[in-house]
Amino acid sequence: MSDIFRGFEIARRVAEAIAAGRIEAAAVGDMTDEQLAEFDKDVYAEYLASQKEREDLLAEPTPPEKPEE
Amino acid sequence: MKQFLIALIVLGSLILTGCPKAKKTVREFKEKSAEVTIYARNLNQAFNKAFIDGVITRDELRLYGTVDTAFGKALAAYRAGIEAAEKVVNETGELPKDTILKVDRLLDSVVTAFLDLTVKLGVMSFAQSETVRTILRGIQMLLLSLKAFVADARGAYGLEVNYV
Repeated sequence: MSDIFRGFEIARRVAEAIAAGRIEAAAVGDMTDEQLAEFDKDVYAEYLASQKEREDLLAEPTPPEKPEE
Repeated sequence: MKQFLIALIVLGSLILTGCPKAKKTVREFKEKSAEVTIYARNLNQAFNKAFIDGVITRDELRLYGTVDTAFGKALAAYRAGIEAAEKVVNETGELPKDTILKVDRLLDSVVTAFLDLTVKLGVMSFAQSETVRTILRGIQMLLLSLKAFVADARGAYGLEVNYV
């Protein structure tokens, strides 16, 4: 995968992640205290799960490079 | 008896006017905590997926991970600070200035850790793209708005405001 394509692709993904976050973050102010507590609990659990997923991904052994043909 | 009733009314008025302000501040701290967690979760998920799809390398994911781990520690401390502040409000009806300052410092460390994350993203190869630079500037502006929020909270409590 070329660096130009990688750059474009990760930029698109980061942009999507932030845009989706903006929509969710905008709704936080309208929540009741109970809704906010529940929402915050869920988001934080998902955040911790994403950290765990990253640790698992990084712990996986690197696949051996294919010999050049 | 009359004096006792007057004292009760005065005390009740103080609690009624002081408590909502304290609760409002705690509520705002909670909102900021939830908002910043949303962005961090989304970025984590996006980077994990990008690694799985072969868009970023292991080293890039690891670099992202080191900064996010620091951010996660700051966030955990901030959440504990809010919980402690809420306990104080529920027990006393007031949010003491030193508690505000403590939570403020914790939020500041969260913001600094997240800013560090955006700076680290900025040195990755993909950040040469103007689109990414624009996005990163957007996140940094958001983080600076959190600092402005803390300045407002400090101002509301008559504390010194020293943020830019």
